[in-house]
Amino acid sequence: MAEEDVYRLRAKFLGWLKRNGGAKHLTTCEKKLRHLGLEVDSTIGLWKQDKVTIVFSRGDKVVWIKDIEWAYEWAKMYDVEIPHHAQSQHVFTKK
Amino acid sequence: MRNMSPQGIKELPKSIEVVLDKPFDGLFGDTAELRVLQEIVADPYSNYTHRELMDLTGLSDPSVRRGIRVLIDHGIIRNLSSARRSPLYRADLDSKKLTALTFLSYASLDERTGSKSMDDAVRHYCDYIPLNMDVLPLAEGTNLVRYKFPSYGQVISQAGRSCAFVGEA
Repeated sequence: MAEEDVYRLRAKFLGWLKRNGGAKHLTTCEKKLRHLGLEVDSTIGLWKQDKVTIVFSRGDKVVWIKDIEWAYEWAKMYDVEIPHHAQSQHVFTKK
Repeated sequence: MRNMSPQGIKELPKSIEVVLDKPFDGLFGDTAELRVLQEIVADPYSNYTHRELMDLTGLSDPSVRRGIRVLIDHGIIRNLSSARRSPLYRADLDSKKLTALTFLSYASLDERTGSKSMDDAVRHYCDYIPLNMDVLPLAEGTNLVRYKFPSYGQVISQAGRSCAFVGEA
């Protein structure tokens, strides 16, 4: 299988974060980024702080999507917003 | 990692903090099965090994095993691997339960933040056009087309937009 486009992987990360309530501990995000094959600094550090930012929650660092609409545009562009039948056909015939 | 800007918000809003790391905002509680389910719903486009699910959810081997069994029984994930000792799981994107749970995660987000994620996702979902239908140009020089669905009838719409039902096939 061909390697996934890095922008699509970033869209998948944003979708993951959004469907996790829009915020997740940084340590958990690091695990997910590794799972996707992305690096933390070149992903979260890439986005403007008015889009995705790191804040504190009870002393722990948390990654928070501040601009939900912006995250939606990313997910929509790479068709990772909502599962549907056409994606399934694509996935299971691609193997 | 970058520093916080002095004028930026440094603390997570309370409305988000109370549901942080709770599957589906804690609506159904917080069990091992729900944690595995939340992980799959949050990213249904990736493959997962057993170990990756343990790492991502922070759960033990037996807990992840239990969660996977439930999700397979409900048709939410499939094992793509034929090798018994190295299963590879992926969400079944045909699963209506998976789609419904995705809408639920957006609904929870919207009610806390005032965003319109669920509306957007519903619109996106409805904009999707099945692949197995005929698309016939309706009038030359316009982008109006007639979609002929094998089982639902015909609809006329601008190409790629939401459809309006206009009659039986």
